Amino acid sequence: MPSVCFYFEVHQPYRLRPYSFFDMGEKHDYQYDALNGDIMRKIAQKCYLPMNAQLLDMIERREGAFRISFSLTGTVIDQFEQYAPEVLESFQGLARTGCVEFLDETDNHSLACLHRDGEDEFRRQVERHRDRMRDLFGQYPRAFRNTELIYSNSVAQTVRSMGYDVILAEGADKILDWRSPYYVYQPQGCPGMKLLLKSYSLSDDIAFRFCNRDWPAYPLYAETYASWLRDIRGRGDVINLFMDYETFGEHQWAETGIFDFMRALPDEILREPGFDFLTVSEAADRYGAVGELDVPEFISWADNERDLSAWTDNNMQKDAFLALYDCLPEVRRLNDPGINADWELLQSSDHFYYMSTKYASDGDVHKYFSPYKSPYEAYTNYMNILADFRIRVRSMLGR
Amino acid sequence: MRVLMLGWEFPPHISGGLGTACYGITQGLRAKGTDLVFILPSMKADKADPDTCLRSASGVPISRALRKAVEKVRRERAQDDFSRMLMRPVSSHLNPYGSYDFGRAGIDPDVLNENDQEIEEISHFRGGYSEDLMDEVERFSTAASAVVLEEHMRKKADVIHAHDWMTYPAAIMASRLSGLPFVAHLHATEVDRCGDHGWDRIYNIEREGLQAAAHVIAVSNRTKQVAIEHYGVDPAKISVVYNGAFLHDKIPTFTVPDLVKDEKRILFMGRVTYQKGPKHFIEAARHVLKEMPDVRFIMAGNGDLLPRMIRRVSELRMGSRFHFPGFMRGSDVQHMYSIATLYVMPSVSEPFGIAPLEALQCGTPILLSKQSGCAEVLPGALTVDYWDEYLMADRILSVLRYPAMAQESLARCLESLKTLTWDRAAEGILDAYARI
Repeated sequence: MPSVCFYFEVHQPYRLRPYSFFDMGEKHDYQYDALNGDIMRKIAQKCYLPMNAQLLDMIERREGAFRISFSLTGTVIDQFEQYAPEVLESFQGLARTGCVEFLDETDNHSLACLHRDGEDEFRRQVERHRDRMRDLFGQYPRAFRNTELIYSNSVAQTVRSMGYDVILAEGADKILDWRSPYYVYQPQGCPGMKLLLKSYSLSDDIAFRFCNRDWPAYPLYAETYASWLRDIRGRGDVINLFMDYETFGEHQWAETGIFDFMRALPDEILREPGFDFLTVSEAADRYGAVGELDVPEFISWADNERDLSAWTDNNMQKDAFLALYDCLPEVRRLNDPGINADWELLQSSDHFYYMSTKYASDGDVHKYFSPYKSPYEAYTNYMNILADFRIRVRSMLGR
Repeated sequence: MRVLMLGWEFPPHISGGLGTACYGITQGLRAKGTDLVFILPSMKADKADPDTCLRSASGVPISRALRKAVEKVRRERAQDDFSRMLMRPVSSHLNPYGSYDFGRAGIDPDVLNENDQEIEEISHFRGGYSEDLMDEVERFSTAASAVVLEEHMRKKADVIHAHDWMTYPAAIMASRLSGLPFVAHLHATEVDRCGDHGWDRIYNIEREGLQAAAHVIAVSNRTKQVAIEHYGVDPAKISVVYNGAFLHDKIPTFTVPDLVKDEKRILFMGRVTYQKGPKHFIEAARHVLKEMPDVRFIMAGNGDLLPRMIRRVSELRMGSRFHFPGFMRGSDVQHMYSIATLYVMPSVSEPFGIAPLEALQCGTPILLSKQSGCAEVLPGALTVDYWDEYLMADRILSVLRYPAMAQESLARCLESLKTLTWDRAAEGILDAYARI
């Protein structure tokens, strides 16, 4: 009977420092250390530490009945090590319960899968992430989630060829059409692989609407929410609740009651016979695919469009993206550790997200996350840094 | 000669290009023994300079009598559109008796009667170019008139000299109330700034001011032509007086990091607005990059067109060669000029243009649009029509390919620069006064 899969994405970008034209050729430190440290320590206090402690308690109390999945980007892990090592330890504590599955993704939260020559780069990033999961949590992930849940047939096929047998995607209306997100599917052309789709409506109830006073369901109680899940009984196998982990305490402040809500939710759900919690791979093992799903075009979990428009919509984003990957052959040829590190940094999808010029409600979301005053500033600053990066690469190659 | 000047900018209180020019003009005139008072809307208290001719119109008490007089002038002007022509004041230095005939414009003599100084309000200005600029311009005409009258009373003045449209209404009012003639100095016009898409209200103020002025000083022949063609000013009452250059004793040396010391940099620096022609610079850059992909372009400055320019550069996929460092201040300005291989000023319409003079002093060759006033006094400069983007690209490529040619042009420009002094400008201004 329906299993509930909680999957949390944990990520913080390395924000780039204000980089002046005069810095080009002279300064090669691109990270905004002060800001990154401040933000990381703040979110650690508001979200990561309290929520990890609460989840650990919830797991231990239910002796295996409450199970969850996580994916941590390499970028956030590096920042834990740099600014808040205690957070990493608390994640390791969660891993030791045996009730937490860690997924793989691109180590640096990149968009490498979108570039025509990016497949090698993509594989390299995923492999690096795989090594981290092994070293930090002793896990060998079988499940994969791509940056921002970017998905298409080709992504699934690449990931399948790397040995993964579970992949996550957005349960977007345009790919589901008449189908239900509450079943397991098989990616097109990937026999033996399972595709789990995010129930975006139920996920967004927690991630976005929970604190919205204009929402008819406000204030949302665990009991009410559990009753919505119960309604799915008989018309589905899995309820995939995928969201940013920063939902808890950062996007939704503690004052909204989000922690209390989550603490109460497992019992409300488990009270109903037949309901249980599974990690994503456990759900994929238990339930068979009801059909093959064809997704020729890229989808994602971002913005209302659920496509790539958050990162590659306008000309600034396209120019920056193409200019970045123009460096790929030279960076590979050079293979210098310092250059490689900056290369990873510059590929983070966040930099492109800040350049979005979308209006209305999505624009607000972009603005909320952006360290820049405008998308134009995001673009010009990024291009200055990229120019310096290129100058260094070329000079090291002796050109 | 005693001159009462009305201006909107003056360094260090508000310093744009206009303020810089006003500063040069006052220095030049005072060096020639001219007694000069410069009246501007407001001054920063913390930047007071003891040896200054500056007076702020903020905090000036406006008496009821003055208020009434001002209203009367406004009423008259509204009733009779031609009043300014009928009422052209007679130059007071023709008055051999030293008594000022304030009654000539039909003004209540009580304006200056010390017994009727009942204060109606204390004027206050924010200065600069804020949202309520029009309102400030209007109110400045009353407050500045009060200062003009007070200064004139204190010591007889000969002429009112007003810089650009913000001060023309004040100059008209003060001229009417004091009987002093007024000279309109034309640094820039709405036609330069916005082409045919200017704001009527500003254009009308300019036109009215230029028509009412006893004499007009234009900063170039180009500007004189604009005054004649677009504002119907009688050519006989226009003098051309070129701006001077502020010659720096020493330009600091800026070191270029080793990694980028061989880079070629083509610089645009100025407001990113229609007038400055930024779009033509971008299109020229596009042609240049096709030929020489390693050139770096810089568009320094801010303005209403900046987002559009950034979008255009990204659309042309030139972002990795074309940079937008934003508004430059302090030593960054000279730093930028100094490291540039070429400074380009592709202005659609530039009355004079002080920036190229700065670039030259930093040792940087210049490429000017033919629509720039300063090109008239820099015969050695490379020029191109602002709209001829191919030729602009061709000129840029020539500078990159033939450094000797660029150096020759630079040397000739530097020669011309020596003759561009504020002393010479002051002489021209005094000549203009004499022609009233």
